[in-house]
Amino acid sequence: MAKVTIKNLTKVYGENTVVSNISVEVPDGTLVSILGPSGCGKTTTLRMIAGFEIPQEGEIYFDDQPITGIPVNKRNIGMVFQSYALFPHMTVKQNIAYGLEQRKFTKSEIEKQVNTALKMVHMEEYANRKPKQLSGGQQQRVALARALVIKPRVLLLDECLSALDKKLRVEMQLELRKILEETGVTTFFVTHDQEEAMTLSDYIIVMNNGIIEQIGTPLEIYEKPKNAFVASFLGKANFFEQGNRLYAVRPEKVSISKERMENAKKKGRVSFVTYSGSLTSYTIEAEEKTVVVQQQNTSLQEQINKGDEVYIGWEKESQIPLEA
Amino acid sequence: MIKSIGMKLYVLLTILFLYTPIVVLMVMGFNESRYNSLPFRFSTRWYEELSQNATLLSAAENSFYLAIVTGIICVILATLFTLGAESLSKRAEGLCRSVMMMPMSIPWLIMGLSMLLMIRFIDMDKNLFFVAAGHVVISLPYAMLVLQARIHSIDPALEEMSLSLGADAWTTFRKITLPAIAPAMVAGGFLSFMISFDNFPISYFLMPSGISTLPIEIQSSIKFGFTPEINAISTIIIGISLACLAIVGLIMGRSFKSVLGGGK
Repeated sequence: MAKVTIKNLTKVYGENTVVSNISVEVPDGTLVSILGPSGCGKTTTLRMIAGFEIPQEGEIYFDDQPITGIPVNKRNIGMVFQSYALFPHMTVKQNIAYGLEQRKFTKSEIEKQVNTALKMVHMEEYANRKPKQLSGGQQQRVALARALVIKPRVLLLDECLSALDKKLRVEMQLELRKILEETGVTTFFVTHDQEEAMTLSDYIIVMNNGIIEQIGTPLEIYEKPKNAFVASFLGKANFFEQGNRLYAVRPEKVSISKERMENAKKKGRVSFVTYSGSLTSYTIEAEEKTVVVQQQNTSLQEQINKGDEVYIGWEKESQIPLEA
Repeated sequence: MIKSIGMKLYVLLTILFLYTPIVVLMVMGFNESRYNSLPFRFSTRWYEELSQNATLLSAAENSFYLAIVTGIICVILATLFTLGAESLSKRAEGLCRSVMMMPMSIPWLIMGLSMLLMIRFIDMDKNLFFVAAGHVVISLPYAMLVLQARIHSIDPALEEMSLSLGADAWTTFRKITLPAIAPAMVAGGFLSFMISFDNFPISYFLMPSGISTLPIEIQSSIKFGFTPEINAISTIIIGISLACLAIVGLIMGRSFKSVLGGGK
């Protein structure tokens, strides 16, 4: 376990700057998501922390030790890839034991630790299966156990839940969070799924075009996005200009009614309504702007249909000022 | 109905077309007639005579050793080359691969002749080293084809994973890469063994006098009188190859079949 500090990290491929002068400090034992669209440099950043890529400039520190000069196999990291990369010719047990064997533990010690790891991910009964005989979720657990059993200083997860179907993914998110809280290992989690990043992480690093757009807790990032990119990448946002400033308002913070309410800001016509169980979303054409409104469904709610004239409004506190 | 009968007939005819000559050869090895002629009378006479035929047996032995050496060298070279080429740039890799594959498109007759001329040119005598080298040149592309197909289908994340777990490059090669490519190495070795064992033109041009291989012996026996001993030794070779294939298939299981199939 270690605190991770990244200082002025830059990676260039040919004429393409993939990661541009990023700096971040991650406290010991926290789970940090690196979130961004594909090609934003998140995977490259992770691979530099792992040691598969060498940065042109900058340095990475585990605690206060610079690690750029240390080869991958001496960094003591745990990794889980999107493809899981379980060794196909080895059983579950042999897969998990692999890292311990490299560390020259005794046979009995390896046996003991492998069993503990199997228990942690609830895979005891599959110990002697080959990876091919496991489902995606089970392979995922084995990959996680293999990465954690070596007690890495830093755990690196590369889109490791993306291959699972939605229901299993949500289950695994919670379980992953639980396991990581128990082990307390500093974790970097690369993902392009904003919901996953919000659920899992203590901090989120939002990246775009090789730079860090914003770092903060999920709450900070969602409630106080710095700029239009972050506001629209994490959740939906309506943008307004007031004077020469740009503001964002989250759809669920906008109220809607056929009657003129106190905080009414605009008047418009409903062009689209979608119902999704707990929420109803309205698309409203108001004063040459398209505004999206999300309302929690209650039994007392006013019936609003497509084509209705409505007033929309929001509290002043819901207006998020953005950097240009 | 008619369609399905037609399809079965088609398959049957194809199989007949492919294997009739081999079956005739094998059956005639057990026929008493010296001239492969009917009526068929069962006899093991030619197998007995074969066991006394020192020329044919020693030629077979030479072919066997030559093919083993060729197979081993080809597997080692092809494995090293394919693994090494991974670290080259895409363009350099493509260029190297084309150069390595080129001998496949040059007729063996011309290859053999050019090698003979080169030996003359550097003013050396024909020897077994040159024969083996010639066989390696023509067999290598086949071993390469098999190994490349396999090595390219390995997930590069496997090796990275091994490194991240603390293994050094050599351990990673031994424990992760080698097991993954072993079936392809066996298949590639087997293929180059067969190419070499079967080869006539290269051996014919490069063999020093006094030594011969089975294909050379068979060719000359056609000139000087052909006995069904040839059928007998051919049948034995076919039997051995089939047995080898079966054993390799059993040991390697599905991965071997997939290598021969060319896919994943």
